[in-house]
Amino acid sequence: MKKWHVIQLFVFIAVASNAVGQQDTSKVSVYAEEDLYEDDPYFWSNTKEIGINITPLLSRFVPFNLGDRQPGALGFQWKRYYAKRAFRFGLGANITGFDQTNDNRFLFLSFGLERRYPISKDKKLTYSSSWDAVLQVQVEEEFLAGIAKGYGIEYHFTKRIFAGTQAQMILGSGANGPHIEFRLPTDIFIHVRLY
Amino acid sequence: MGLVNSLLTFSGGVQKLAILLIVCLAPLCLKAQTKKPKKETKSYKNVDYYGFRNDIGINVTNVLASVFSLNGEKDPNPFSLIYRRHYKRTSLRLGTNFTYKKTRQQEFTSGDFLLRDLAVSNGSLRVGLEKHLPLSNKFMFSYGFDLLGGLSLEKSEVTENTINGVTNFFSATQNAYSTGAGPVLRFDFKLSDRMFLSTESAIYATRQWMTSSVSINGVRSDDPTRAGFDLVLSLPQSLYFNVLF
Repeated sequence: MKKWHVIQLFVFIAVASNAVGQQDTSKVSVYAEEDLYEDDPYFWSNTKEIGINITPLLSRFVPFNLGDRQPGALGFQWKRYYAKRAFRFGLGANITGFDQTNDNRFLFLSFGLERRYPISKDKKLTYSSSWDAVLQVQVEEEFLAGIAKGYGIEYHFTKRIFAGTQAQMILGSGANGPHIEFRLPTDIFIHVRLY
Repeated sequence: MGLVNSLLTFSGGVQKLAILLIVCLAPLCLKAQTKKPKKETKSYKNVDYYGFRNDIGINVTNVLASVFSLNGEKDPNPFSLIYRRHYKRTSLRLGTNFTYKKTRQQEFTSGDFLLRDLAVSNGSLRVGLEKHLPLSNKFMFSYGFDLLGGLSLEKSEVTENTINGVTNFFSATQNAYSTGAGPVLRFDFKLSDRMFLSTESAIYATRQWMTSSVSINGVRSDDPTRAGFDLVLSLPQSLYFNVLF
């Protein structure tokens, strides 16, 4: 009979310690960084991302290039990631009807699909492959409409913040006929992930 | 201990049934524990990150670039001074910049005496609201909407006294006004409890008007008013140093 009591006591302590352990693991935070869906293949699945071209700011403080470098046409990116692929939208604009002497007037729009692959085991370093439909209207160069195949590389500082850049091969049609252009990675984007 | 004693005083079949139940339930508890506990989150309030109700920021891009001799280009951002008032979950944002300059020059050319007066005034103001999304205990992402207004007044006067005793008077004025609106995105990086750095990006749609007139010896002629529409995505290119109080 004494043996039953010992077993009873042991099991009770084990159950009680489980309950106490579970209470300790809950933590209140305002920084909700965790994945919401445990079945997602990646931590970027089912999230939204906003990217901003920060090249103008960086070029002021990083002394590799002492000139004031003009950023590329793409200034803002929005992405909606599903399990593995994303729909993405890009925008750049400098339209001025008032100052007709401004030679840097343009409008850039892009819509496309993207897929991201991890490079490192911890998935902090990733690369992306994308297809975009691109429209660019620019003073003097007039317009460009086409498709762009892009490859990008990103580094995730945290699950919420990451930096990236991309190269694109554009095949399209311009005002003066076919247009083929390889755009090297020249702009640094800072992205914020929204859950 | 009361519960333990009562369990220990069970006897016979009841006791075995109790043990059986506990043994069956224990694996369920263990299984529950192996599942990743969901992090509990509370709704964000401004006081969690900012800690104070007000902050004031000054554009330090030019001074930093000059001190470290990095880039001689002037920062084109029109807002040198920004202020924010933090409420529970939103913030009121204000930004302004103004200059007033008056100069007088005297010249002698070919026996003529010229007196040039120039008065230039520029001012811009923005008012907006923003909401916040804390990214970590150091980084904050904010999004909001601004309303803008600006004016630029310029008046130039030239008085010419010729060697023959004739006086000519020339005057030119050029006034420009602008108004607009647009969404804004902002990043903050906290340095300490009271100090942080920030930068902003916005897409502003603005409408501008400009009037100009010329007067020669009292005969005035007005140019037709020019108007235009601008849509500019301004990328982050200014760094603000902010102090909370």
